[in-house]
Amino acid sequence: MNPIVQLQGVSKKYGDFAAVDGMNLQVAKGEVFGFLGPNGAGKSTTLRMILSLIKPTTGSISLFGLDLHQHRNAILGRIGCIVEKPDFYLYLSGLDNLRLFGRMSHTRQLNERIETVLHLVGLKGREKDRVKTYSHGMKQRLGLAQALLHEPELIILDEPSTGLDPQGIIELRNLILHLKNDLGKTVILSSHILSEIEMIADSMVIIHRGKAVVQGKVSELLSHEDLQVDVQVDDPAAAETALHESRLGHLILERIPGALKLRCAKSDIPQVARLLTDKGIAIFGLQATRSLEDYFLRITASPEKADILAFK
Amino acid sequence: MKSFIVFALMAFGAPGAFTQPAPKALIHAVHQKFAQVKDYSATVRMEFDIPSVRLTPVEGGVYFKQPDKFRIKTEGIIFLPKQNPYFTLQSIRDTNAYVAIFAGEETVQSTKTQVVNVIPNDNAGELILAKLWIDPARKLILKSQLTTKTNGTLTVEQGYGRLQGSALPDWIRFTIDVARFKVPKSVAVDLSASKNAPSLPAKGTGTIQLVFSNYKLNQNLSDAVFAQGK
Amino acid sequence: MGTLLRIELFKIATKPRSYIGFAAITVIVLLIELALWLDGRSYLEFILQALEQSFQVQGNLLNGNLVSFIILQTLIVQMPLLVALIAGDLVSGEAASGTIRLLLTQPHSRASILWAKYFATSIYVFLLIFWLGLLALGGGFLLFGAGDLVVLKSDELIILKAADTLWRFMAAFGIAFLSLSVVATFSLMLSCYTDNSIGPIIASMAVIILFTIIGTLEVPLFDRIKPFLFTTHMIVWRSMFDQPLDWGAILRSMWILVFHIALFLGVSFFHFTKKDIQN
Repeated sequence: MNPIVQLQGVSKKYGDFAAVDGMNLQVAKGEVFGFLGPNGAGKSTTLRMILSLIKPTTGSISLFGLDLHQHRNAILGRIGCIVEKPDFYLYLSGLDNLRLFGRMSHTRQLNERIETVLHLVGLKGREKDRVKTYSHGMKQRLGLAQALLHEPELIILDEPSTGLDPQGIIELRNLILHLKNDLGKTVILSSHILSEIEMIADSMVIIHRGKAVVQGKVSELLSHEDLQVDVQVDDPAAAETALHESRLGHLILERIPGALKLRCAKSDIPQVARLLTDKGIAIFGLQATRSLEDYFLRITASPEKADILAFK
Repeated sequence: MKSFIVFALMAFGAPGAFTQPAPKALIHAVHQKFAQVKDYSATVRMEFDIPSVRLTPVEGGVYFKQPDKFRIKTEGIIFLPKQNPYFTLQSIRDTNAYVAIFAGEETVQSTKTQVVNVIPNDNAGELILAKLWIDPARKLILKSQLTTKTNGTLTVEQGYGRLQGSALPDWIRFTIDVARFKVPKSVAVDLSASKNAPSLPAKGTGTIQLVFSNYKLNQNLSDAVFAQGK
Repeated sequence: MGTLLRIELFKIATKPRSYIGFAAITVIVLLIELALWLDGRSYLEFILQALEQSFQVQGNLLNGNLVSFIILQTLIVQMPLLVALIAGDLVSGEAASGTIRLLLTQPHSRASILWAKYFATSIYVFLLIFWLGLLALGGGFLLFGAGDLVVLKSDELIILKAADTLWRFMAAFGIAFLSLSVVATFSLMLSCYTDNSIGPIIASMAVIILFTIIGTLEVPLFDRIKPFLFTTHMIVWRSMFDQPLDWGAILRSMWILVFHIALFLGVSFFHFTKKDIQN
């Protein structure tokens, strides 16, 4: 892989507190890369370090094969971004804001580009209104327009769907896919919603307590070959015995009151169900969750209690 | 009061008073000499040395017409004595209007002068007492000290040159009592003023010197020249 | 740098707050001119009453030069506050509104962005002074005519020839620009340290007011402090109307003002180029 973004041992410490702790990361060219993690996990700090808004305490960051510290301006000229939320000069119109940032980013044929991005994000017709009259969704669209204005190779979007209505979220998703598929852009996307990442990302990283705890291809990490299945039965002990007798005992994770917890592939579920029914064990319910999703739900629900090692 | 001044001056101020020519005759001669000039104009340069006031020398035109019209025209701001330079001569024009007492002899500008005290008969005028230092040979007033009702004491010294025959001085120097200038900082909005600045005396004397040149005599100057305004 | 400077000027020009200073100056100058038009002679009579016991003062005292001088010394006290209103918001305003994230992810160094902000503020300060000069001198000469300048001091009057005043006013405006640049860089420095838009403005104003009070109070303890306060040297513009001119003191104060500008700018750059943008 020829990484477009590479972080090696990057940490950011505030006194004794490590907001980001020894982060190693690689983003390949032309992919949509998801940053996943609960609030406060260190996603935003990591993205800000990539954008040179925050200086790492240790480690190195390189983009496009260039060291960020040494080639900051050249690198930033190839990046478009929305960080946290799209804030603009409220006393200026959307058009003036785009002109202003377009000039700063050395956008060629600025007026034509502004027309293009306004159409792309669906803001045409409102560009001359002052930004202070915009809804959050419109500001988000303006943010996207600004991020795309100078035709960057890498687009970094920090929680871009926040505040968008369902239609807006679908449009955003389609836009990101258009950027990747049709324009060959690399997109880094942060979110605390797994399904959002799953739908559009090629690769992802889960960040927890400043560390990259899981990293890889989405198709592999969120595979249906690795499910956690809760089988609610009338007699869990009998069910456990039946599975052992049928050489399926290796699927059992644990026995809990009223249920068995299994770790298996999606294709194993009908066989398990048939076996238990044949043994006269009543099945009240089958609930399948993917292991990663289960882990992520746990750290999202209670980040303090979740143990990083629990997933591994 | 006036009688007392006259008596005191006669008794103690001028021991030789009764041995000298009548002072009024001398004064009359001085005035007659000046009366030959009906009007004049001249160039004047004014130099100021007034406590608390910094004013660089100013040049302008000066105009006079008998009996009492006087005007200095300049482009800028000037400080002048409240009395014009010919106030003394105007005050002694009518020899019946005052008492003149010889008060001895003194040397002024290396010239021996006769000192004459002049006390107006009338209390209504501005002048209370004038002391004149007169050069008897040239019939010129070299110095005068005027005590006025409203403006305190004013000393006027005059130096003569080419036009001494017409009693027109080359220069006149006024010496005036000046009260200390002081306004509240807030009025002057003077934030830079420091209490460490040396404190000035409550009173002082200021001098204004007029240096004349380019006299032009008896040109029948119009009264309009003396009108206020430009 | 040119692009960044134009952008910063554009932002200042489109921000309604930027016009408060111009409006305030216009109103105050016109009020002073109106007041002097109606009552200026009484004001002068009050000031000159001690001297007019002994002298008659001849000439047009209440002229455009005097009016401009009075306006200048009245407004110079207020102008730092107007400058702080803009300079105190330069960086912290961007932080408070969130635009600093966008600004600092553009392909320009932080130093060049701060330079652009500093130069834009300097141009704003220059225009503010230019506007003051135009209104004061233009309005003054239009309403009151020309004439020698009577420089009012609490214990002294200096009368300067009309022909000798214009260059002094220009020099005084130049020194006032230097003084206000100190305020601008001081506010800019505070602005770099906070993400709150109002804080640096209030803090700048508070410091200037405090230093001015210390400079005005005649307490022996403060006399030792005064030479170290930049506000002490900010009023050196007035020395341009002294006769004779104390060039030594004027240049010393100007150097001290330049030193303060360099110091405040240095601290601003040091902090801004290293600052983490967390909001």
